[in-house]
Amino acid sequence: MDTKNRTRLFMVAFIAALCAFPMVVTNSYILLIATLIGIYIIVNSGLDIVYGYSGQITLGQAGFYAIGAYTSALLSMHTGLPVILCMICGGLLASFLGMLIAIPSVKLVHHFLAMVTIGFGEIVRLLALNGGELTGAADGIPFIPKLSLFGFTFDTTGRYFYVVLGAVIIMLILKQNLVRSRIGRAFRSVRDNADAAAAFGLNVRRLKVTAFTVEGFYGGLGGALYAHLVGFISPETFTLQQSVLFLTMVLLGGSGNLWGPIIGSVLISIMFEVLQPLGQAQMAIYGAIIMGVMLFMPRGIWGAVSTQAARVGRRAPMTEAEALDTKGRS
Amino acid sequence: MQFFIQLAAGGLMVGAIYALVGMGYSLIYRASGLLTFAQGEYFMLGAFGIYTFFVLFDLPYPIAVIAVLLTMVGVGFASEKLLIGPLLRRGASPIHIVIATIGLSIFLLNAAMMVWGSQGFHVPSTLGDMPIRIADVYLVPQNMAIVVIMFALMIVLHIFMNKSRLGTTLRAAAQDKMAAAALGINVSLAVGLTWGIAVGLAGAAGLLIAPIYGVSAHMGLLVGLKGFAAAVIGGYGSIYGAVVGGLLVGLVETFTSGYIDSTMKDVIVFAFLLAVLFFKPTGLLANDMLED
Amino acid sequence: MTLLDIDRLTKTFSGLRAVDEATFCVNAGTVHALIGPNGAGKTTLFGMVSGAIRPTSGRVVFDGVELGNRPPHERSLLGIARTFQQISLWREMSVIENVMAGRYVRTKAGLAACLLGLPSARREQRETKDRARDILEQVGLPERLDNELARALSYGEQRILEIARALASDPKLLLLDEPAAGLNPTEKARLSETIRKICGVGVTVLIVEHDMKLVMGLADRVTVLDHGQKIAEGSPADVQSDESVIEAYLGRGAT
Repeated sequence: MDTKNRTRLFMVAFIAALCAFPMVVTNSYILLIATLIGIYIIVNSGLDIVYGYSGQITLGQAGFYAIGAYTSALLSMHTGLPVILCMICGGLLASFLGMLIAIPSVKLVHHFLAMVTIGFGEIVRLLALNGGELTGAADGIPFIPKLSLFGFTFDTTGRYFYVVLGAVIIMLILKQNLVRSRIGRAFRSVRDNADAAAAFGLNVRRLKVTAFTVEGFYGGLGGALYAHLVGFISPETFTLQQSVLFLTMVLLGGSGNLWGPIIGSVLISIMFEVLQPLGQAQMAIYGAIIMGVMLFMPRGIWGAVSTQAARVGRRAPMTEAEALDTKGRS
Repeated sequence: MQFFIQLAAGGLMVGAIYALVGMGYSLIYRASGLLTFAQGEYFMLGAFGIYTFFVLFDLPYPIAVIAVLLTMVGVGFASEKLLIGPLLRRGASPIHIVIATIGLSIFLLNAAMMVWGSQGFHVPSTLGDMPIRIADVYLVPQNMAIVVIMFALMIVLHIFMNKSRLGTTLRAAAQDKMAAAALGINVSLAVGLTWGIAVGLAGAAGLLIAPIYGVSAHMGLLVGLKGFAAAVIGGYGSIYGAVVGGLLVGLVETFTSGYIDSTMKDVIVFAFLLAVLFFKPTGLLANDMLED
Repeated sequence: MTLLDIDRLTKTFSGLRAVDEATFCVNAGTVHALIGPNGAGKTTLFGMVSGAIRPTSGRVVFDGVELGNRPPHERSLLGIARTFQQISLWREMSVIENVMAGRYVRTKAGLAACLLGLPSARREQRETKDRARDILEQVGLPERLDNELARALSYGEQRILEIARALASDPKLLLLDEPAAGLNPTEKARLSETIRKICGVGVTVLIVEHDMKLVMGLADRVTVLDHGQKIAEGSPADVQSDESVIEAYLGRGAT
């Protein structure tokens, strides 16, 4: 199929351009933002799996983010494990805890589920805050070791950009594999009509838990990447506000597809930087964006764009001849 | 023993606030089958309202109270007309509406900070700040007033919803919009009014609590959560349930504060809410007891 | 051979007997119609066969297995599939994805296999897609519609897609709940032919329908319910001339 090959070509070119990015842009602050955007893309893609694909509301992302960050930081500082393994452990632990919390939670919906996810995020933050010496309490954990692979240390933002880029590519490939598979379809059928899904043999609760389990890994890995990028973490980073920010990125960009979370992460991050001087008004603006998106663009930017594109290529309904032509088939 | 009674009294008084906010949640659910995240912020606005009218504009207390209540009812009405109604008309799913109210609460919180500033403000109590001693227990008059008013409002609300014409109209519109419209009921007005009342309740709670705990932009967050807990624990959608739930939450909070540790009180309340959600999401009280 | 055995099946809702000791059998390889005036209890009975509703008393025996209180997904595995009175397609998924998703119980790729895109998962995906395409062809939905979202289809096309989706799990028994509702005569004729064809490849069909003409031309056997009770049973011709049936319909006014 030519469209498929064209898309592949575009992707390769795009990734090549991204690889050139740190060589062209040397401003370390911009590189930092770009690297953070990459981390957010990972977290938000996980969030998208729960919200966009399985249709569940979740405001606990900061919790997964925190678990990944703290786990990886602490493992790398107190054990001899290589940082890359610590990161993966961070993701796995977040995933596991996500699964545990999801099990009793997925029978709830909407507001009630939102409350539980908020509670999860807040409890994680409170544990970090009251974790005494282990978590550094309010002071956090400084001097988190840098990532080293095969003797090569990623101690500048420019170098770390490639790590995150690689992680983004891998995690997005996994996401695409998942959403195109039978489990991905199962998620979407739970989202679109859970009763029908149950009638067709899907274990709705188990699928909902699976979605959270996957989100946990994405969030945890993102958190771990964050910890070793910035070198310092504290409970202040992992607030409900952060969870809301993540959700805003997915809502604005569009959920239930590959590009929406990417677009949302980029846009909101840029907006965040640009609006910094406004202080308080910033969060008010995000609140207004959330309301606006729900009112006018519930499918987000990517959703609105693809709907327009689909309208352009409208197909003709089945003709009567086609309708009656059932002879001579299998 | 006296400590126990003092704590219990305190718990009931704090619980009355949660009950008021919780009643609002249940009322909105009854009226539209919807859930809202913004009750806490309306509570906060009620508190800022009394600060603005009573302290800043120096209006006499009764006038200030009426002004706040009317404003809050208006805000509730406007919220329904500008946000919730349009969303419903566009066929938004419940998740979208919940998220929209999350956006609303963030907007209100930060807008309040922009308008009034992020520090705390003081509102003097018209009943005096000195605690009264009743049989070895010290009670602050303002707190007692809150409990009395809460019960009064609960009864008034019950009578209004069940016995008055307007109230019956609101309930009809909530139960079956098409049938209500067929009977000539202005459904749009009815739903808007119901939201207005629910928000008014939260605002009332805010203005009552202001003299005791002060006014600040973040005061709504925890109260909103606990008000929601009250509504859930008592059985979401039930007015009486919200009252029972609110008092229960208040008691849990003060007893935790008194006997365990005051830093743990919020965690314990939250854990209580989660436990109820996990094990008995329909609420602790049997539903038929609470048909109102 | 009896595929489905309904034995004194009863459902009471707060004092109202929606289904009252209904008893009949459906033979394998036939089209069996369940008719009756509005409110006769047909959909409730359907619900008890599909597992959506728990019987108050009585039994449902499918292929020799007593279904008891088994949940819908277990019945799916045993070979029962259904369509719904209100269209319950997964609207944001495409036509072919709807059918592929309907095949869920017959596939087994796990989370790891799906995430990593393992060869076993890919192979199963191809097989699922091929089978979906075959079924779509069977019901007459052309290939160019495959990637259209379900919600973009016309009403008639959606009704047919519902049936295709139900066939995806290779069921032995297909429950059709008013599949002709809202269809025009051409679409109904097509539906009839499609159902005949499905039956021809060995799927037993139990259909609830209001359209008498459709039922009489299609069914091998008809059971009539009124007020939850079976009042008549037999071939279409028998039932059409049965007095109690005529009275049930006429006495109630129009259907």
